[in-house]
Amino acid sequence: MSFENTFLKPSETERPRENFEAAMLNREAGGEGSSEKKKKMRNLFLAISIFAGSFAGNLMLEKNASAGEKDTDEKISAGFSYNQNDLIKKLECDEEIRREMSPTRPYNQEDLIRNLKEKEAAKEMAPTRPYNQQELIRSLDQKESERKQELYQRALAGIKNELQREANYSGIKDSFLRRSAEENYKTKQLGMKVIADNPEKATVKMIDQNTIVISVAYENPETGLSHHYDHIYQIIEKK
Amino acid sequence: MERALIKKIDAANLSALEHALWMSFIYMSNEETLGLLLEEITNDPGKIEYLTNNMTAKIKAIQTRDAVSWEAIVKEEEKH
Repeated sequence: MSFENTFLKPSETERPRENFEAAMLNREAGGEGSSEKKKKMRNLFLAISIFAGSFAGNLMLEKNASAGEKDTDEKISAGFSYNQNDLIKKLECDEEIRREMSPTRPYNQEDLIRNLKEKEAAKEMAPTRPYNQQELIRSLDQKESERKQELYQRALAGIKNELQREANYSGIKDSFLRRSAEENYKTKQLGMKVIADNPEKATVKMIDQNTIVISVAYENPETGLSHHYDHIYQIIEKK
Repeated sequence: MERALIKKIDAANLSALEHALWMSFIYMSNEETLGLLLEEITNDPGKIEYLTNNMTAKIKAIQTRDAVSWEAIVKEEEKH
């Protein structure tokens, strides 16, 4: 990835998106023999290059726009400190980001806009400053909490359905295995019943975006023994 | 994943601007890229500083249209 080809030649800066993608594919193909780790690092370096290109492009535009107005200590050679405020302004909303990025390389602009569109957070945080860590974390927390609640409601509905169903283990020929399955199911049913009847006794832990574990401690009324039941609910996404 | 990355970046010894650059990078990158970044800095906590230098050097090289620096950065990347 030469600097000239990537960032300076006018013909390159104007090249259509498909050429850029082809270049990326060629880059991929070139690394077929290298290790997986090298390939990952190359992709990461490429992502950083695209970001750096976009960022620097904006800064150069800012500099051109303000030529003659800014004091010398605000120039590039001073580092990037003056850019921080510009960055804050630029990231204040999606529309502004798109507008600001438009004069940069077309492929960067499209990539970044696509990424922004894809990310739900981009919509939710549009009126805020996306780099604001606290806001970002709060948004993620809220998303996670909503997802957890959604999974919990689905799991609870599943538990209630399951409790309506009568398990039939008559198909198991071996009597020992059949009894064992029946006992296991009874224990499971007791746990599910406690969750359905006393949801406040259950604790819900989110494992990932598609998985929760509902845990409950209960006492078997027949034996008086204490039990712990973990109900795992997972959504398997079809590929 | 974003939260895990933010924690790692918080823990790194970065300036306020470097921190802001990574926040912006996280915001703009897709899941695949974020996954790669998280994997790299999890496996090697020192990597974030290397990648930060890589990023800031690239920005500076582009800003100053310094092709020599750019080539040096890309050549150095090949070692990884």
